Parts: sequence; structure tokens; C-alpha cells
Amino acid sequence: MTIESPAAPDRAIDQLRELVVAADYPGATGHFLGLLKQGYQPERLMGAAINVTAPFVQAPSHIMLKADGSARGVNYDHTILAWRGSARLAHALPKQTSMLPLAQAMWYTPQGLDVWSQIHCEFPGHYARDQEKCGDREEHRVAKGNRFDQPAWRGPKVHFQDQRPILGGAVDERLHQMIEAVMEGDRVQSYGLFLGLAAEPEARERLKEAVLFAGIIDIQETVIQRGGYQNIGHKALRARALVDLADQLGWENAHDVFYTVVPDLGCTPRFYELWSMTTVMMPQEFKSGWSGLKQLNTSLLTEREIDELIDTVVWSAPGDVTALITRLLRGGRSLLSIADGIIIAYMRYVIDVLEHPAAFFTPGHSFDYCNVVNHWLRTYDNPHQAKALYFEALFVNDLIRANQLFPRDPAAEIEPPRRYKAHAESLSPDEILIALNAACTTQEPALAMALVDEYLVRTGERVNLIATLAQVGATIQNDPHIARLCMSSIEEYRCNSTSRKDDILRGWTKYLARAIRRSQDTGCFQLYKREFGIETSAP
Amino acid sequence: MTDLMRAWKLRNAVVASLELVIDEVDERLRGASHVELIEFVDSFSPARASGPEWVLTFDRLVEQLWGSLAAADVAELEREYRQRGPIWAAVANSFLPERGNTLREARWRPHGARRAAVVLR
Repeated sequence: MTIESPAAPDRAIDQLRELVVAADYPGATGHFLGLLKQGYQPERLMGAAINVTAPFVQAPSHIMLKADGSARGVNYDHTILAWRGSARLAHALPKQTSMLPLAQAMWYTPQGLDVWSQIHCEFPGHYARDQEKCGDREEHRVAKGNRFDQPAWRGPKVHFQDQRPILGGAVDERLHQMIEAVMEGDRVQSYGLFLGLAAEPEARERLKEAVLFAGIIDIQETVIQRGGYQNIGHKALRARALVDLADQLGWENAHDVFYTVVPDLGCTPRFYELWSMTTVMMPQEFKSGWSGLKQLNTSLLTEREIDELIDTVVWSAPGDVTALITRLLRGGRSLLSIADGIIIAYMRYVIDVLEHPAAFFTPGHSFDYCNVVNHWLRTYDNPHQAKALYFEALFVNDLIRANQLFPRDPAAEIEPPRRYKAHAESLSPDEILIALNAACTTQEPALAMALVDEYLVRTGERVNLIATLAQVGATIQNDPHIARLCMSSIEEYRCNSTSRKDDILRGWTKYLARAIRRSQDTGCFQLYKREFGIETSAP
Repeated sequence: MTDLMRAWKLRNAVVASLELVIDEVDERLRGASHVELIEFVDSFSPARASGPEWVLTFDRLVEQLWGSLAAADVAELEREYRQRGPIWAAVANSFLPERGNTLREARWRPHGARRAAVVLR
């Protein structure tokens, strides 16, 4: 069954759709930018792109059984994360590059379709090209280039059909049934119920809360030696993308966002170990008061407690993390204060410990997951919210421990930033920002850290610093994680209640200046500069 | 005895025990065969380690190996792990002479201290 979008016919938009489905990412981006220049609204183009991709971003499962009987993971759709991240990142950038994140999302989207087929080397895109290296296989080699780059030689597959809304019944009851259906993996039922509720404006705030809740509680206990049996927070990240994009596009125009996100919430595998653990533990610890902790607990973490939280999350075993969160809650510390402390713990790990460029990627997911949880804590009320503090802290701790399972490589050691301190001190604040942009772009972490440290100490100005880091992020292509990192960093920086919120900017800087990049190419940025006739300091 | 004095006495007792343990490990490393050393170093791999806490002490083992073994013995370890391929690069790189030099240069013996400083974990 196909459910038609009510958009009016437009040849230019049709062309964009054709280029996207053909996986022609440079062509789609060029056309997209051309339409922006003609005055098309970004939301309309974004909506058109999401409309055309929605049927092609589902997976039958996120576990694939291989021929030898063993299982592997199947990547989650990232196109919707790219759109969400880029739309929000635009606000942090100067006017001349404010559309660049959207261009990056467009550049990425045609490369991220039908992941299942990409893994089978049956459709082009960045998973087939870069992750599976299909083009290197004997049977797929071509005389020139890589056929898994683009264009597509067939259409992407639809792995889950669109559905009709399920209407009628009390809102409370349907929300409950929707969560239950997600947890049981009944995608048709959960998606149908969601569509029915989404059509009722008075139910939307509760629906947003519920869909975030459904994503947040689906989080694995550990990724250590689990291969594909994990989701590294993607259910929550997708739920947040839905909430933001539906609000931005308007709920009446967001059907394709729903189609992109909601069925996948119930996709296999689903993980409720931490949810189960906290559901058993909290009544034991807090009796009937567990559900009222958000209202009851109002005090902030002390500096010493922040230190303890950092030390425990970064260096201790999961049992110690659980015990500390319980102790802080018993001590009356507010949920948001603890959540903010967990963010700082993650940042200290990035700043003080991470060295190898490949080691940033997975822990970065836990930061984005924490950002979703914290948004949920800040925006909505749910009696289960105290449980999410355990999810956050244990998730961050687990990904750190997963990295710790690999011996440290001395070849990846980063020189001490203090070597560049004198140089940083010799620059004016404006010069520091220019140098910081360059150091992050060319990935010189010690220099970048010295520069950001000096800037943070020298001045209280943060808007231009954030714009500088966002600008660096916006030039990095083929990777929606970067837009997400930028957006999470900006939001957490603005909301963090601790005295150490500048650590978020330090950690963001180090990530940009050190983490491995999917592509060193800046083709999208070059195209953007040509189309808009602009010059910037970045390459 | 005051609480502070008792705490300081406890600290000194642990220091004495720790020095004995470090000497014991040093003796064992010196006496180990190449095969025994390989088996021991292998226990720090993700598949064999008892958990992250074990692997986290790998840097400390590397420091002690450079202090206990002859350069030629460390070079043999480097050869063994280098030929296992890129996945073992972090381990092989720990046994390069440059790493040994860096660790020697980083050794710090405070004025008046009985021994060079030791990082515990």
C-alpha cells in the first residue's frame, strides 16, 4: 500500500526526488542548492527529500543472519538525523553559511538509503562503499571508479509499507497501547496508533513525550563483546528527530517523518535490561516515593559530587555507577543536576582520556543519547524519569569501558596542549577563533585545545566561539554524527547548570580536532561556495 | 594514636607492601620465557581479558616490562605482535624502542625519594 503525500505537483521537486532515489548525491545537492537560490523554502525542500526517502529507510531488522549462521548488526537510518541536526545547526551559523548544514544533509541522504541492500552490496551508498567495501570485491570491480558510489542501477527497496492510522478510543489508552506495541515489536500496530494520535492536535504534546519515552527506555545494558546486539541509543535519537522535525515542518506536513521514524522504534532488536533493572530497583530503594523524585529532589550537585561523578562514570564498574546515582538521589540531588553532571563526566573523558581518532565515535552516541534524555527531562514530566539517570550514566560508562577493553596505542598519543599555550596567549581573541577554525579543520588537537582553553579563560564571549565550532562541523561531509554532535553540544552548553559547562565546548573542540572523519573531501562545501558565491576562511 | 596518625601508618604499610609486589612482578618478568610473556601479554586482548579493569593496567605492564626486560627481549615481543597484523598495532607499538625511550625519559624520582615514582593505574 502506498499513501500519497498531498504535495502539489512541481517538476523541480520531482527532479529532486529522482536524483535522490538514483543515489546521485552531487546532482541532488546541486539541484537542492539551485532551488534554495530560486527562493524555495528550506522546509519545503526538506519535506520533499524526507517524503521521497521515507519508504526506503526502514530495515526488516537491525540484526542480519549471515550465511554461516552468525548474526551481524544492520546500521540505523541516519538520513533523518542529518535533517534534524542540520536544520537546528543553521541557527548557530553566520548567514552566509547558514544553509550549509542543509546542503550537507542533502549530500548525505542519497547515500543512506536502503541500508539492508547496501550491506548485501545490492545498492550504492556510503555503507556499501565505505563500510562493506563492496567495490573492492572481485565480483563488483569495475574498470574505473566505484559502482557503489553512485548512481544507482536499480531503485531502493521498501522493507516496511506505510500504514493507515488507527483511530478511536481514549488518548491515554492508545498511548499505553502504542508503547506496549513498540516494546513487543508490533510495528504495524504501534505505527498505526501513532498516526491516529498524531492527527489529533490536543494529543500531540503527550504523544511527543510518549515517543521520546519509548525511544529512551530501549537501551542496551552493554555493547561489550555484543557485536550487532546493541542499538547505541539510536531509538532515542530517532524519537528526538521526529519531535523536532514535526514541530519544524508542522505536524500536518510531517507524515513522512513519522513513517521514517516510528516503525523503526519497534524494530528488532529491542533492549529493556536497564529499564527492567531500574523498575525492580527503584521501589526497593525509594519505596513508593520513586516516582516523585523529580518534584521532591531540588538541590544541586556539590563540586565534590561532580568530581565523584566524573571519577565513577569514567573509571569505575557499572555497579559503582548505579550505587552513586542512587546515593545522589537519596541525598536529594535534582534529576537535572545529576544529568548535567553526567554530561560533564562524558566531556572530561573526551578531554582527558580519549586519544585514538577511532575511539571517539561510539562514546559520541552516548552523549547524543544523554542530550535526548535531558531534553525529555527538561521539557516533559513522566513518573519514570529518575530511571533515565541510570540509563545515561551506565550508557556513558559502558561505552568508555568498551574502549578500555583495547590496549592504548602509544602511536596515537596527543602532545600536551601546554606546548601551544604561549602561542595562544600571543593571539587576540579574534585571531584565536581564526586559528581554532584552522586547527580543527586540519585536525591538530593539541593546538586546538590550547586555543580553546585560552579563549575560554580570556573572555566570557561564547556566541562567536560556538559559531566557529559549528562552522567547522558544517564543513565535514558524509557524516550526520557531526551535525548531531554540534547540536547536542550547543543545547547542553546552554542548559548545563554546573560551574563546568565550558568543558562542553572543550570536549566539542577536541572531537572536531581529533575524531576520525568519514571523508576528508569537502566537495559539498565547495559546491555550496560556488552556488552562493561566497568566500570563507575555511578550505 | 590519632586518626591522622593511624591513616598515615596505614599508608606507609601499603607502600611497603606495594614495593614488595613491584619487586615480585619484576622478578617474575625477568624469569619468564618468551612463550610465557606472550601468553601473559595476550591476556590483555579484548577476547581474553577478564574485563576493562584488566586491560586498563596494560600501560602499567608496559612500563614495568621496559624496566625489567632487556631491550632484545622487548624487541622480540614487538616482532611477535607486529607480525600479527594491524589489529595488534597498539600492542606492538608499545614495544618499539621509541616507546621505551619515552618511558625512561618520563621516569621521575623526586629529590630524596627512595625509588622512582610509580603510577598505580
